[in-house]
Amino acid sequence: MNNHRMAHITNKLSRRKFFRIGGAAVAGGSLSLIQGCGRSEGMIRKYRTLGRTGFKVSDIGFGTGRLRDPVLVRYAYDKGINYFDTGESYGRGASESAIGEALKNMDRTRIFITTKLNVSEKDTLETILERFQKCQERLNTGMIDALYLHNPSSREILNHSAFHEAVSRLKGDGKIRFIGVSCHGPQGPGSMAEILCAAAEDGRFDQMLLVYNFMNHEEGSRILDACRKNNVGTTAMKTAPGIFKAESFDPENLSSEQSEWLKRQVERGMSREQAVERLQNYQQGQRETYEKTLPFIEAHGIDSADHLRLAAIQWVLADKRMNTACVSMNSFDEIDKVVGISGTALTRSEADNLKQYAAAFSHRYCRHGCNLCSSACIHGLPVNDIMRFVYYYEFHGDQKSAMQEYRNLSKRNGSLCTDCTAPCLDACPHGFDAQIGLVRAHKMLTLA
Amino acid sequence: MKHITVYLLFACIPVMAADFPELKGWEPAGQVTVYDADNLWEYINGAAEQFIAYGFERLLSKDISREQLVVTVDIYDMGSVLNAFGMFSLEKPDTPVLEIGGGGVVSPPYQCLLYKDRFYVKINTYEGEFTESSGRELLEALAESLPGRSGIPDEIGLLPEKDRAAGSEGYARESFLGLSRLNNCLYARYENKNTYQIFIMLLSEQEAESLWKDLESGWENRSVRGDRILVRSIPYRGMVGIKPWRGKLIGVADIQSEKELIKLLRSLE
Repeated sequence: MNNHRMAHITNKLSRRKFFRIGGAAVAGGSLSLIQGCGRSEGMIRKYRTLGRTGFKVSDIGFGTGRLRDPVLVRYAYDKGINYFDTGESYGRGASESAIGEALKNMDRTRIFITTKLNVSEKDTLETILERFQKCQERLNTGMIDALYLHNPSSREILNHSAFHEAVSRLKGDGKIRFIGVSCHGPQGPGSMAEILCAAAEDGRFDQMLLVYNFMNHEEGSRILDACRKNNVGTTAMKTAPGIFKAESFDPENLSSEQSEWLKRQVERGMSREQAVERLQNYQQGQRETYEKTLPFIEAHGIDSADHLRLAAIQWVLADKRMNTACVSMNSFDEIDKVVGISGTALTRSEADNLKQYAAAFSHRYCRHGCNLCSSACIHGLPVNDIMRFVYYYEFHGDQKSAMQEYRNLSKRNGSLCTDCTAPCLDACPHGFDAQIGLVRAHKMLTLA
Repeated sequence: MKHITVYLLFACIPVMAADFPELKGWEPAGQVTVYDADNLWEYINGAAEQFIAYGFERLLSKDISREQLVVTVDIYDMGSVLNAFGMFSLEKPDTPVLEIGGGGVVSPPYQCLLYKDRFYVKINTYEGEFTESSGRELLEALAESLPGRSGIPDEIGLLPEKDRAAGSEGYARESFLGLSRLNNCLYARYENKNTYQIFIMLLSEQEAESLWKDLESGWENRSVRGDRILVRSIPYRGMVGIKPWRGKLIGVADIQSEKELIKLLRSLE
């Protein structure tokens, strides 16, 4: 992450972030909740203890970033889901309001609600309490089970004195019971593992929300170990890495989606030849990925994206250190499908395919947010950042921006790798060769 | 689950030449930051999911200032006017929409929203506060600077006007009413002796026919005197029914009585 972006992110006020993330009001056409829904087949089958909270949470949790409709909450509840993960920033409170509306028809004592606040250095006791109160009003509950620090920009935020003072008051008033931390990855110094392991060791935080999936689990595994050691609850997000069925590509016979995409790019100033080339490269990459995934998809003969997603969630749940997987669900069908895998395990063939897939890509993939090799570089190069610029260049077609970001590094760049003795060679536990990667990156990003 | 495909397809979209619009009277207070579907979460965390589901392609974010006011302008390229309208309709407050661009809302003192063509714009104060007039002025300047056409999506004209609640129109790209097969739905709330929703599925004739056949297996057929009608109940919220209409499908939802539902559907010409 370059200095500009870091500064851009860390300097923002949390109030500001709240407003930019959400709209100006709770929206949606949800009408009154009227009919009942009988309990039937397809119920949650497994509950796990959420660390030191002692609460038995469903292995499938409800991630509510997209939630706007209270009937989906009620449906999930009737299916046995009892963990609802929301945040003030999700639709600027619209997600919280949907849960609050649904609560009128649910037994509050049987569910666990987590919400999150974006807290920055500039927040005060008053701003935190004020915003929490609004969360509480939207959620329509006197007590929120857990309050999270939402994706803290650095490890220092864990010690935010106003936040902890607010927590102390809120606990004293019976308005919250536990606190936690969510983290997607670094927005400043430090990785997701650094922040969440520190939070787990801290003693004040009771639960964590982390990125964990079969393609990105090394950091998560360290966090899960730290949580287990400290009896801290664990919840997962981004459980299903994006794998999809590749479309065929014939420039003379494009699908409607491809045609639409090309048309838009041409309208925005790209030549048709360039647009076709980009689409072709992209489709080729996707086809290769798809071919590696195909045995798994064919073995089970159902809709590939759905099945793969479900299997990926099963992979997460197979890790006993994980208490619940927070899954985004947007329809009754989706809830039925995901609830259907509660308490089930991956078959051997499914697990093997996922392992093969992960292994095939492991050494070629500089993991987002991972800084494990940084101390091995004698020049102190930001390996992970540079490889991200390459990713933008190659896979986003974002050459101009990628090259600009790279230029911002000044002389701390891949040119230093050419004659280096490369003590970094074995630094990546996944086998990624940073020297080769950075030399190639330098050529690409400077057109050398 | 469909959004995963969309996310990946658009993850490769290049940055186009269009720069951040110049706004007369406003000074830059920072550089432009660009986000795409792959890293939008770095900026707005889990709220990114909804944007991605609505076809988000790229975000340009920049701080600008004038006198005591410093604001962050976030310009989301949603790929189409319907997507931009959809996000705007999801996030706007329940207040009258200003005729700026496609539509705008000023919520003093901290936020203004706007959509125009494929762009959805959110403006948040960093220092200072908006007034109704300063917010409106900024929205007008932005609407003028952004490329594309002003005005609401043409498709809104398809929705019946009688009894339509002003400002209740919206666009659901996926899973309208929580039903995974109801996608690309333009909808609005209607109020007379009942309160209900009417929606139009924006499909080609062929797609409409194909979906109809698909739904026939799960919904109840209630065709009456030449009118082809399918109905089903939705957990907790009542009935929904659809019928073919001008090469598309039109539906009524949130009605408790099946008889009333069919009557309403048959009245839609």
